[in-house]
Amino acid sequence: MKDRAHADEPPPLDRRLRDALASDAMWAPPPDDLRRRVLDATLHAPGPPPAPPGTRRRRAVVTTLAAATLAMAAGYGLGLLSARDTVPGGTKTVALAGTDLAPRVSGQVLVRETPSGVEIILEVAGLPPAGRGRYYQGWVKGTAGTVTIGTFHLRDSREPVVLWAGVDVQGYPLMTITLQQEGKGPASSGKVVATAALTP
Amino acid sequence: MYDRFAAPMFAAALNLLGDRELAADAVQQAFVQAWQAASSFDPSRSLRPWLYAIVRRTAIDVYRRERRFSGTVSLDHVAHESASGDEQSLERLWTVWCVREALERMSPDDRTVLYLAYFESLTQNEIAQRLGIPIGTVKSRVSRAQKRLLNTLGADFLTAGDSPSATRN
Repeated sequence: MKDRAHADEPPPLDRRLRDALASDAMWAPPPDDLRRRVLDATLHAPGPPPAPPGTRRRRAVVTTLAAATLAMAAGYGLGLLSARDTVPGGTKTVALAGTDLAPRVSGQVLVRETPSGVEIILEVAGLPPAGRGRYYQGWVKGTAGTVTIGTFHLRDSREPVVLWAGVDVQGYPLMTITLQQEGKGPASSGKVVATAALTP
Repeated sequence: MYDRFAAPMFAAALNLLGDRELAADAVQQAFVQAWQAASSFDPSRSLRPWLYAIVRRTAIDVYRRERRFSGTVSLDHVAHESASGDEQSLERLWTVWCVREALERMSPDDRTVLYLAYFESLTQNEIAQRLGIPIGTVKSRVSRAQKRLLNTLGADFLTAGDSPSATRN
């Protein structure tokens, strides 16, 4: 700063900080597409080799890095995962299909095991926003019964929808999306608009 | 991990390479290498110097690739800085990383006054005119931003000689 010599002005930073702050590199933002490029390159690269036996902490780091990569996938759409059905970290993608009630619906479902539950991320196309007083509800179904995994409406965003299952989806291999109406109670309306097979 | 480290990684790579696209290549490769080397990472150590070493190495690789295939000579400063690996250039690069990381944690107001004062080299009168605020406010904002920068750097900001050395690469 040219006029920082006045006594009431803040003391100058040391030279190496001033030099750093004066460099182009300090202020240049990463390119807008860099996150997507990193994600794409990471998903197409060979995965890390398995950790040696007994190195639980190192496995945790691998899991953390995998989770970080997958979190990026969640934020930027599941289309990038299409080149690989399964990625490290107990995660897989399956197809989402519309029913006769919504034949134009298509998309993918990312199913990711986490320490606090199963994260189920929908990238759905062709499903219109729910009208006023209506909403969509996700379910997982199996021989053990039916469990809801959350509700959504799609009115203000076309971002992936994140739902959570507190049950082991191995026992609930079918996921469905129903169209619900407020005030009609918590039970499924039976109006299934999309389905996905979560396990083979 | 991207949200936390992409900016300092990009700043370090750009500082070495002087080209945004090449720097982006280096960061992309660094994330891939970090992913592939995750099982060899020692979790008792900090992630920052590990990633710093990786991105510095990938930036050098990018430089060598460009020099080999395109005959680019405009990056000669990189050869000097990266190949020599002298303490001064290593410290300078680590400083870029740390300051950029600190800036990412600061408020837009703080970043703005630091940008105007140190990157654009504006006087405080000029900053006041640019922002449309009294000069007294500029002084207090600059003072506050500098203090916050130093506080954010804090103990994480290693003194000369403590930066991650080239030998860790």
